[in-house]
Amino acid sequence: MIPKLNLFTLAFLGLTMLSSGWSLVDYSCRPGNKGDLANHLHRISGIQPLLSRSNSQSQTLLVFYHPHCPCTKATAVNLKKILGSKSGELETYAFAYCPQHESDSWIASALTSTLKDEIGATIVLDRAGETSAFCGAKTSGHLLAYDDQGALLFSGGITSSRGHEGECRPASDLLKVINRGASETRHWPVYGCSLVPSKEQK
Amino acid sequence: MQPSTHLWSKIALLNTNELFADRYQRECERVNNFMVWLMLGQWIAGIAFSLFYSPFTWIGQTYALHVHVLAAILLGSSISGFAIIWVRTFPRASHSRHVMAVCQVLWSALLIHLSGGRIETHFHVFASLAILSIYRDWRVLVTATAVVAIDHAFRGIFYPLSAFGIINASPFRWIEHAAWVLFEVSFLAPGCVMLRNEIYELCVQQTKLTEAKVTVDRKVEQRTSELVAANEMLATKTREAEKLALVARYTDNCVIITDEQAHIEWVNEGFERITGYSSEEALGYTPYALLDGPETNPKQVAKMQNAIASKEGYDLEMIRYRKNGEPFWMAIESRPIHDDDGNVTQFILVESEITARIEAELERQKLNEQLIEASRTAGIAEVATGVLHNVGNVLNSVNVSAAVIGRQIHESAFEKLERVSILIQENIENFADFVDHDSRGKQLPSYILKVTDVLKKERGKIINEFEDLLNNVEHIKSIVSVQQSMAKSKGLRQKLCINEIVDDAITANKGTLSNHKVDVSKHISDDLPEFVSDKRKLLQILINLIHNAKDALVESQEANPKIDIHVHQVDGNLELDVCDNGLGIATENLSKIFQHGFTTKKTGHGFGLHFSANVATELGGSLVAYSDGLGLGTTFRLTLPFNDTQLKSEDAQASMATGLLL
Repeated sequence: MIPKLNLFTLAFLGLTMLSSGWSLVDYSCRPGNKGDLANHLHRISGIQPLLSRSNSQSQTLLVFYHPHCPCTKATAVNLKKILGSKSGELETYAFAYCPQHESDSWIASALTSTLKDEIGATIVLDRAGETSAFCGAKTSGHLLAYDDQGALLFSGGITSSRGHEGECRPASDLLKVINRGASETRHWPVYGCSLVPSKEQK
Repeated sequence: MQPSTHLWSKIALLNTNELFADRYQRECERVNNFMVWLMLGQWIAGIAFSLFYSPFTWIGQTYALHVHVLAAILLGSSISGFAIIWVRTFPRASHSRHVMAVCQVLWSALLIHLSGGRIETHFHVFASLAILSIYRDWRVLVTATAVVAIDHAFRGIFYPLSAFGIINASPFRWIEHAAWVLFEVSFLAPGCVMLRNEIYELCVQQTKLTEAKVTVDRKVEQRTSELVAANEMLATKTREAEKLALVARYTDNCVIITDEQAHIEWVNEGFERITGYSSEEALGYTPYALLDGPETNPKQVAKMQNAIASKEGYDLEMIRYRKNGEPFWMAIESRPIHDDDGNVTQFILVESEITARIEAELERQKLNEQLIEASRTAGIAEVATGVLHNVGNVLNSVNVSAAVIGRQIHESAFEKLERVSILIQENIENFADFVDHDSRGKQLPSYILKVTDVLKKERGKIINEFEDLLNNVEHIKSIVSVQQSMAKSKGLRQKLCINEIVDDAITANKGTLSNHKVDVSKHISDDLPEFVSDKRKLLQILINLIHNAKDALVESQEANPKIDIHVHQVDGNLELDVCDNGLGIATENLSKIFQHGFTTKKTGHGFGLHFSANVATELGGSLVAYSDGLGLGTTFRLTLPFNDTQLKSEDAQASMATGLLL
């Protein structure tokens, strides 16, 4: 004779499993918000001082991230793989979100170190997310790739879901773009923490 | 009864399967316990994983607990809890393994997810398959594979973004993921089968060992029981040997053991007591050389020696001599002792002194002889009694006949004829005148004629009586002859007509019957055949019965004494009833009426009916008496067989005769 309590418990746990599993999948696969994208690099005022020092013949990759976002670690891992396979010149700038009233050291994190040391990105402090907001990046892990003329080639995340590293179509597309293999702009969803404070979400 | 080989094989197969099932079940329970701990460990690891990789989720400068942490706690606990409760609820069910496989694969998915899809974490899937393979059930791996395939297929088809990160992924991409899992399963599954087979083979071996042990135990038990039985038998034999030794030592009989040449090898104390020879004195001698003497029968000694020479046993009773020369009788039983090859190696003699018995036998023999002599005398007396009884009966008739003849002679008309003769002599000279003129002379012729008539009648009567007398004398002769023949145990069977026999019997009693005015009537069926029997014996029975009936009528003083004799055939037998209306027999005496010496008559001997009944039996028939009581008459029924083959043998008659003699 099977105890009824066990059966009820099993049923409860089964339902919990299904519902929480589905919620987790849904959460992980729900992309973040995007703003109005900057279609041309030269229109991004905050980045001009940096660009003036760079090679005008190279492509430009902008990474907008939240230094403490765990989901963007997957973006960093994928980006590291992509950049390891690039063939042309590429200047990478990582815009680290920093709240208005926090010190600059707030952006110090494992993710920042990865972007800086392993990927070779130039870390740019994005106070209160003004630059990211200007470029239309509202979610951590949003990447914008521009050609040497400053035209937007790629916009979006390079993970298949939130914090999910590994090969995926957006990553492959970015690699193709930076290897000058495509001419049209590609847009991909971004999975990560929000760069916009909650009161500004909407 | 031992089971057949085929049955043993079936039993062994059942035992092996049972053992394998039991062992596999215990193995599964052990793995289940391990999996329970693994589930708990994975839950904790999942929480730690999520806390390490993604503790918080950020929105600008604000942060909150990451959904992964919540998922690790909630989803992880539901997966592990579901698996744990399931195996605890169904600990022995095979589906518990499959549920555990499903949950383990779900844990792989969760951990992969919590680790951000790290390629390293994907190895958890393969590790899980390896872990699940310790169930040694390839179907569990199939279930796990199916879960992976179904998960990817479902999400690939209905929610490709969650599975492959793109919306327009190929709907068959899940096959690639499932194929990799299947790849590993294709190696693990044969391993499971192999391990399972190895366990089964171990069970087979263990079953064989168990069976061998059981067989050995059974044999040991059997041997032990045989040894115990042998020990008990040995103990029994030892006790018997001890008892036999006691018997041989303390018996009053001589016990002698000799070699095959009859030389004494051992004697018991009884030998020493009886013969007076010590054991040392007897050793080496033959028993007959040591113990025989002048009165020992040489023929018996020769017989003894012949038996020894032919290696055979013998039983003898003979005279032997003690050491002091005193003769005594011994009963000797000699038996040869054979070795395993059947050769006689020894003789054992048991000798008992029978002097007292022999003397008693001699005394008894003497007494027997005296008894036989006394019996013979008594037998003669009994025969004489029988003869005298029957002869006495006939003599009564003879006496009656003689009396009738005497009275007839005494009252004869001769006296008148004599007076006629005297008258004629007195007148012889003038006899003519006397006849013509004398008044007496004139009556003389007519007187003579009358006397002559009377004499004629008297002569007829005398002749009749004389014939009866002769018949009775002849009967006496026959009685004596019958008694003689009985004494000689010889039968005199002949064809008989019952009518004549009945007439003879009535005739034999005629005088006494007529004296007492007894009316005798006979009723004999016409269809009676002739039959074979002993006429004289049958006649004796009938004479006795009629005589007894007459005596009963006389004693009863019946006014109309009568005897009815009925003869007819019943069931192939001759049935002869002698009925009288005389004194009758009391009921309590009916059973004793045929006993020797029993009589109800004042002058009886108690022999006649006893004798008659014996003779009836001797003739193959029976004699029974019927009476309704005193004063109601008696019927004696003699039943005889018509068939000669029903007659008893001469041996039976001889027995009867001998019985009569004794």
